[in-house]
Amino acid sequence: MEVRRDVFQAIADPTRRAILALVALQAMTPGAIAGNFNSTRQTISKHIQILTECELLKQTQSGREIYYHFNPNKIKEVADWVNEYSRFWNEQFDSLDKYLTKVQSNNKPKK
Amino acid sequence: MTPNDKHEGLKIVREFNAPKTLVFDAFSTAEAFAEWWGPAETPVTVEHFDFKQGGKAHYKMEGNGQIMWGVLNFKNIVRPDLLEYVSSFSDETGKICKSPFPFDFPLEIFNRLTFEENNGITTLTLSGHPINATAEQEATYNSMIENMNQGFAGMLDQLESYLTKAQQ
Repeated sequence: MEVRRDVFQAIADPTRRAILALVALQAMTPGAIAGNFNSTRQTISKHIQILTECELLKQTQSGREIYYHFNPNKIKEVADWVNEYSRFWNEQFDSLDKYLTKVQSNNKPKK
Repeated sequence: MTPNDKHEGLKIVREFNAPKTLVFDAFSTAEAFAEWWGPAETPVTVEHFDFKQGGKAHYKMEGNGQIMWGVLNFKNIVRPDLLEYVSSFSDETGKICKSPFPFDFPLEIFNRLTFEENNGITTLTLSGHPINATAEQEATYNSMIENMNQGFAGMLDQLESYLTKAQQ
């Protein structure tokens, strides 16, 4: 079975969050990104690959160098899904609240 | 936010102006369930409803031109204090299937509802976490919940404070 990388897994990792925070400031080469971390270059480049696969980072070529840019649209997409999920539960409970109000007003004993 | 307090799973607390038996019973019959389950504008049809430990509910939700099926497998039931069930997306036969989300969401979520009453107000606490999930699905779920619990502010705050610091 193919293991699909998704955006939530990508941002679950603290190093990858830190990479995003860095690149959001300015586009950077893989070397410059790795220079901010104590991990090996291979480790950082694996993280960059995962972020690129799920489109949180975009690449541009400038001469011989590759630069990585932050893709804010993708983060917005994540935020939208998170909001959707949380809205689901809130609406669910709004709906329960209405139901309870209705049931109680029907059952209210006449004085 | 600290890295150690994650993996708590989903937690939602809500107060209802009703006695807890009434709140609890809203979960316990097909009629009540169909009346309120699902977000607004999402009519629910109950296909099957067997409210007992080991019993199952199978229902259809229709909204936004989409039809979604779901199942609940009831676990521990202690009226009117506690209700535990495993929820999943399913097909029309009740077989568990993948979520409609465009990412690898866990197939089964274990939910625990507790009901506490104080002066006629019932506090309902829902907690949820994946079961039988792959490590990737758990990571996805935890990341989603973590972001949700912080109103998604967590990551953006982190980014913002970094930006502020970096500009000094």
